[in-house]
Amino acid sequence: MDKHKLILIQLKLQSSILIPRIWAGYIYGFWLGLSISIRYLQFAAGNTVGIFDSFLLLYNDIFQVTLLVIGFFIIIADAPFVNSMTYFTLIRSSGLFWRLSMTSYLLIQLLIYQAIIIMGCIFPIFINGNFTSGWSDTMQILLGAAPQIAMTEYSLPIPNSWILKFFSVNETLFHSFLLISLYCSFLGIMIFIGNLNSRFPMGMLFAIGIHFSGMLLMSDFVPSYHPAVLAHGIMQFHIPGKEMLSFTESYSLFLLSNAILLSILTQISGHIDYNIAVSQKNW
Amino acid sequence: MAIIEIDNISKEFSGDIVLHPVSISFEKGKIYGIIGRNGSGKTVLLKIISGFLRPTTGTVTINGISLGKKNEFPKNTGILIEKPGFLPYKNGFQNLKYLSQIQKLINDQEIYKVLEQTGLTSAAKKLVGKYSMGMKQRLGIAQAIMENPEILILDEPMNGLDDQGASQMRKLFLQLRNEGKTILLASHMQEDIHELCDKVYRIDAGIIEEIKI
Repeated sequence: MDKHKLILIQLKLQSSILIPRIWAGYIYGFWLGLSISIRYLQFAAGNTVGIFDSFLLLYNDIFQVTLLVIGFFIIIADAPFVNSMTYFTLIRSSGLFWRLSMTSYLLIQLLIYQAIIIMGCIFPIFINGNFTSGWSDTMQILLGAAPQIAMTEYSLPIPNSWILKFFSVNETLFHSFLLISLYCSFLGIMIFIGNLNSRFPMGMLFAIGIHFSGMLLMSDFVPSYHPAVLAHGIMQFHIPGKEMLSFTESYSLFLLSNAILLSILTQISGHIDYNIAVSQKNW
Repeated sequence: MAIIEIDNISKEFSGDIVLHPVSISFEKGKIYGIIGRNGSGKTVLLKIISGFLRPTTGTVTINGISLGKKNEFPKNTGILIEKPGFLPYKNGFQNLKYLSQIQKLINDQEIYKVLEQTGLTSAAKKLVGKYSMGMKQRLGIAQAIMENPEILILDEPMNGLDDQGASQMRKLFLQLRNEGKTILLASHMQEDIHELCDKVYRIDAGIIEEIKI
């Protein structure tokens, strides 16, 4: 991408500063991280904690991931991001550059959102000060014994205990972050393309359908995680040798899906109506 | 010589015909008026010519290049369609500067010149959020003309302007036409049509016809 075309991303980011919905999404993300972190610290009751422990709990639980995805949907609800300034930029650019710029904007919003969630997660733990770099005592208690009190009194999610056996903290962090990022970017780009090609938010409907069908497919009645796209985005369903998903399978799935969506973006020139969403008319 | 040719273009939204098939040639160095009631299809026509809407049938050719897969938007064209959108917490100059950085065809002096042409010199450093509707409209016109485009597509450019401002903009458009620009201008103001236009088309319920002025 030409350097000066970055101005399209910059302009979109600058305009997003003014949108209360986006700030609501950021605040929601911070609250999501903060609330789980506070409950985790209460459960820890003085035992050592890892600075990213609550982040790992959040990113490895279906319900918490669903809450996380909802926040991301709130932030990008105006996809395909056509407002009254868009026409001024489109006429000076090209459709392809604009679409790639808006996809980049979407991915930047995803990173900002996740950074805010992480800040919410680590802030109370950082203040608490009693943290360690390896698997913490609290995490070992939580995943090892899975005490009932953690779920009932503190409403904490309890990921698969095999994580402690098979992965280091850094490996868990890496895969948890990357898989959710790829999953959300897949849903985000789908929303962008779907909404761009329709006067109705078809992309958003598809994304919601894929996400919630993932939840249903992960119920006890379905014998395999493989059909659930959501499962591929959650690290705790990738335990080696446990008849679960493999990282190779999940990363390949997301990389291939995102590559297909990006290639669609490059191929739809001349087939798009750039309509301003009603919610953007007064911007 | 035709600079813009629309050949049998029509537009449907979910089965509703908003623009019936029409073919028109627009020649270089003229001002074309498009009049019609709200919702008659004026903006749809201008958006199709600008490449923002794809026609259901037909083709738009500008300077010999058809809009479509390879060329989604016309080159060398300035537009003002819908309510102009700017960053309200940046001043007028900064907004134009941002837009100019996409193509990098003009420098700061040329931006100041266009602000002067549109009567915004004294408001160049004022935040756009504090602009009146008329001033925003002037800034919209400024961004449309700043890169010296061959073609101008203007949808209700006099919206929000007082009589003096509208008169000033009319003089500017005539000057631009005399410089060889082609201007498509949708307006509901009789003065615009009488003073500016070489040819006028009326749109009613998506049907376009030329009218005598």
